[in-house]
Amino acid sequence: MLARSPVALLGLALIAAIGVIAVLAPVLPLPSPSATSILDSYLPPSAEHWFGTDALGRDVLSRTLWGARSSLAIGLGIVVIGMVLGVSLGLAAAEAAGTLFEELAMRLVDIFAAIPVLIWAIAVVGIVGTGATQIGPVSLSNEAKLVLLVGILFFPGIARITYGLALAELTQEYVDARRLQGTGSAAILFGDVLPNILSPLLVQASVLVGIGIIIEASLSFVGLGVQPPMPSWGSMLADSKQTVFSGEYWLSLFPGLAIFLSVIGFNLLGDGLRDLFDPRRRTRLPKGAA
Amino acid sequence: MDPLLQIEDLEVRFGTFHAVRGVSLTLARGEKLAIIGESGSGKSVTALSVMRLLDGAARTSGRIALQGAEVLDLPAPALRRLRGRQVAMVFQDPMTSLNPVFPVGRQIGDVLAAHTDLPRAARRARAVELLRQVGIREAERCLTLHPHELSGGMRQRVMIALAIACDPALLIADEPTTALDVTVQEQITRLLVDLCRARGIGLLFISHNLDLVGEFADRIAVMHEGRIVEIGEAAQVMGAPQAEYTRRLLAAIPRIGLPGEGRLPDTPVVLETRAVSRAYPRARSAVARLWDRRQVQALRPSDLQVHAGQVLGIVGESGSGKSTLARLLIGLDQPTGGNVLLQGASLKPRNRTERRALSRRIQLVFQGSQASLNPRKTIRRALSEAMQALPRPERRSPEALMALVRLDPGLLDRYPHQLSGGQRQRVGIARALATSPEILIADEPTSALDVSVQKEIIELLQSLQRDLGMTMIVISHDLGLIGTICDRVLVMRAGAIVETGEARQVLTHPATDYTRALLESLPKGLAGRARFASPA
Amino acid sequence: MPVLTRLASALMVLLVVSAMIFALTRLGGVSPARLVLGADAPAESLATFEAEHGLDRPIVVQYLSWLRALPSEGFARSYVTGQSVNQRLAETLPLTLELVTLAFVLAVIGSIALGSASAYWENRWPDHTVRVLAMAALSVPGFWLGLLLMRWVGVQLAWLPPVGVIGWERGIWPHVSSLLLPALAIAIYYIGAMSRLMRASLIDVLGQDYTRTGVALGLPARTRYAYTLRNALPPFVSMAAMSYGYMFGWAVIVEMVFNLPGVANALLTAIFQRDYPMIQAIVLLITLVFVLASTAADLIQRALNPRLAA
Repeated sequence: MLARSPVALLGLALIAAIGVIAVLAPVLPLPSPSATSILDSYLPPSAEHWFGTDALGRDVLSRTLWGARSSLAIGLGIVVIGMVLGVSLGLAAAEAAGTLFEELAMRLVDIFAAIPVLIWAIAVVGIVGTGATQIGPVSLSNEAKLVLLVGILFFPGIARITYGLALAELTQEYVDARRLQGTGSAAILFGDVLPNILSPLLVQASVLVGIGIIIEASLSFVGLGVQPPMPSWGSMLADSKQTVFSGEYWLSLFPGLAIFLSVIGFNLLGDGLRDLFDPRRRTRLPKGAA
Repeated sequence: MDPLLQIEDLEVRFGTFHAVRGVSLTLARGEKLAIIGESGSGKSVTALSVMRLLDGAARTSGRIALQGAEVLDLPAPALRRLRGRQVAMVFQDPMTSLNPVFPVGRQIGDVLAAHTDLPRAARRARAVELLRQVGIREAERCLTLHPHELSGGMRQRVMIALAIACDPALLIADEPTTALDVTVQEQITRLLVDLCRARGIGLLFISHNLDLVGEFADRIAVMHEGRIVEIGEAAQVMGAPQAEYTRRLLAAIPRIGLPGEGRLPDTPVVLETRAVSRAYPRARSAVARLWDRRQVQALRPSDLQVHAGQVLGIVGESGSGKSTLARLLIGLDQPTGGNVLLQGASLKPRNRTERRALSRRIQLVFQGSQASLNPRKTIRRALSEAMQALPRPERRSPEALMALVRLDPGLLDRYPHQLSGGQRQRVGIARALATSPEILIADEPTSALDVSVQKEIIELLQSLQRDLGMTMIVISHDLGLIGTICDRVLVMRAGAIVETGEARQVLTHPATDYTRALLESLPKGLAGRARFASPA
Repeated sequence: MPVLTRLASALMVLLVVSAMIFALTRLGGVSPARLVLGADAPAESLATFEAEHGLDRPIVVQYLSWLRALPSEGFARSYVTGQSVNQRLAETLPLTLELVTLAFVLAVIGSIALGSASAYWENRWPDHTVRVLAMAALSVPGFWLGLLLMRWVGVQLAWLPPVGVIGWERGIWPHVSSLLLPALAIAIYYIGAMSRLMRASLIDVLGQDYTRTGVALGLPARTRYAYTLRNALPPFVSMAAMSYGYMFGWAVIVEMVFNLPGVANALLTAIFQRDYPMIQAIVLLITLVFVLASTAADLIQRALNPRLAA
């Protein structure tokens, strides 16, 4: 089916390429991303260092490839958390239409939707600190906290979309037919409704991964995201700020390009999927001609 | 004299789809020509081509001459002046055809401004006059209203006012009454015909309803698969059709067949309601309901009885409460007052076991639109799921169910969108019959189908009811359908039952004005054609 | 009535959100007393500090008294610097507001122009160009674009000041021009998102039956454009209003890139100093702007739709 959308294919290819790099980064014949060598600082791109080196003489190519690991993992993690929470709550609220539960659930969504994600992520991480946080028996690294936090802040959007779609789907005749057969709510929601509304949700999820990656990069840029020594695109860009006037362009170009390519990959995939799924995008015939 | 409109060898293609294949016709000044066809026949495409309203994907060839102007070759400015001034169009759905954000007065004013140099005050006066002419009494007030504040009939009147605002010589009406309630349909058709007659406007009337156009058209053209299969004087087409396809269409018109003379046998009551009613809170949110206790009464307390082995028809227009009643009768919804009793016991299922038990006694056939089957499940899966409530040995094969509704078992592995409307509705019936219910409720079982298919479905339901000895309730807005298959009839209006009785009695001697109005609104065909078919 | 309900619910949301941020600063972090007095301060002085600032009371009481003081006295004093939070905000907020407003204007003008062009030439070259640009705009991290612009436009071409802000006293253009690059970095995502919405919304309206009615009635192009735009506007206006709120979040990062002394600066300083009253105040203020923006979005949507406007 994907073959019918070159846009989706292009997006998928980009994501796949970056995914492969992320997985293979440790086994590629590259210098360690954290190996410093003061003598080699600020080397421009060359055959030896394709992307040049930074202030501490670390290999920018190696750091960029390693950066894909945290970016992809955090971007995907955020969306998985957001989807699980949002889809369950949205489905439950739609099924409970007209009840107090629906009302409470959707008011909860309203409250969380009123939270500007980036500011809150900065503030919350700032307050609880970037070190590992102990919650009961679990110790959460800053990266895990980030995933949980942004995932929770993403859920209202997903819940609203799911709720709207499910509400419409639940009025379809085939759902009534299922109820008349004595099928339970959960079976109808997950067996009939969810598969039918999954397409627009996947589109949304794909776009959200891209936003998640940008948020991670932004937080790492201000020092509240991925923590050193783990390389990340955001913190590489933060380091590059010192060289704006001196002109070591490779320090900002490559990590930024990496973010751009991964985000555009997910955006293209989302766009392509939307075109594939949206019936209005198929060949349009005037009314009466079909 | 030159004809008003002349179409020669019109061809329209959308990619590989050949929508119109060599259509030629003429329309004289003041003539009323109807084009009849089912969906996909090319009738609307033909109509839209006359105004060059098809979108960019259409490839059109041939010749269309309107008052001497070659429509297909006109440059854009001339085309704009032609539209609205020499030829105007009334569309099917007045809700979507009127601009939702502007009041009626502004929309009429803009049309007048586009084609005349009337000053603002004169445009307003003319708008009021136009609204009066289309039968809107409070014309002044109507100017300030938005389309959503008007009823469906009123909206279509406004649309007609827009169309005749600049005195066009030709009016094209594309299924102008299909989206309206039956009692309104007749008024709108009459309004259109009277206006055209009084002003000498030529009328090109597109419809799927042969019976309706038979009442007023001078000539009728029948289209099928992009071609005109027959064209001639209305009396000739209706009375002595030449084409095989026209004969099929005529035969498919549901006439009110009356049940035989004999008294209905007195069978026991299997399903009844006692003062059953349903009210909905006006406030949508559960919290707002804490202080806003106002309610909308969808169904006033109603009593009805369904006798074993008989067919009860429930007839009413949209908003009459008939669908609410259907949902209560089958237990999809619970009444806010009164009871629904199935053989004397309350119908309300308390848990899934009871729901499953109930599903073996009473079932529902839906409208048969695309949404009546889950688009992601094969027919086989849909039918198997329908038998879940049965213990394994009692389950039939999906093939047997398909045979029951006379469908090719080869269709079992298809998906709903791969079936035609008629096939889908047969699957819907098979699904309802999967548990061999004693009572079958059919909610508007033909309203989503083409005319020629409607008849097949009605006959299928009728024969199944007879063969299986089921009790059946048929809900419809269509008196023709109700009269054809029902033993008893119940007429609903505005959430209440206004009349009930044996079908023959109600249809021939209606006791209330409303039922009479419903009967009057049925198309009567050409003068002299009986409204009722001869008794079966 | 619906307007009142909407305002009431916005107020509710603000209350809950303020309680959340308040609780977080009290429960999640280290005691402010320890932060101010240092890790090895004696227990008594800690207790005295807490009593002085009312930190020994139950958290609900603390929250309520904080809330009560808000309308008359504004935000409290910072524990760390002793500086008034109100004053610090008065110094930093105007610049951020200016920056975001400028970004907002860029986004609205840019997206209406691009979106309209794209829709009217659907599937022709202007449309293809705009769609590619919009997709790129959606995917580029604003702060990276800021870094690039700073380097090329600011340093190499030297067309615009690369960092910092030039005061009003040196003239309007120098001042605005010093904010142009950061504003573009903030706006870029929204130019992409809003022009796509404008395009989709216009194409949707162009495909509606009533647009065809307009053509069938022979309305002139100008009237039809007015009809189309008026029908396509509500979702766009709504998104634009929402975006105004979102832009504050990105402003924080972008201010840091361009060394602008705005709210972001204050927030990050407060975070590194663990200055909780300051963090609270800034987050609450930005959330307030955000809630106001989305309330405005709803109300405008309602006013533009005759079906909802009671």
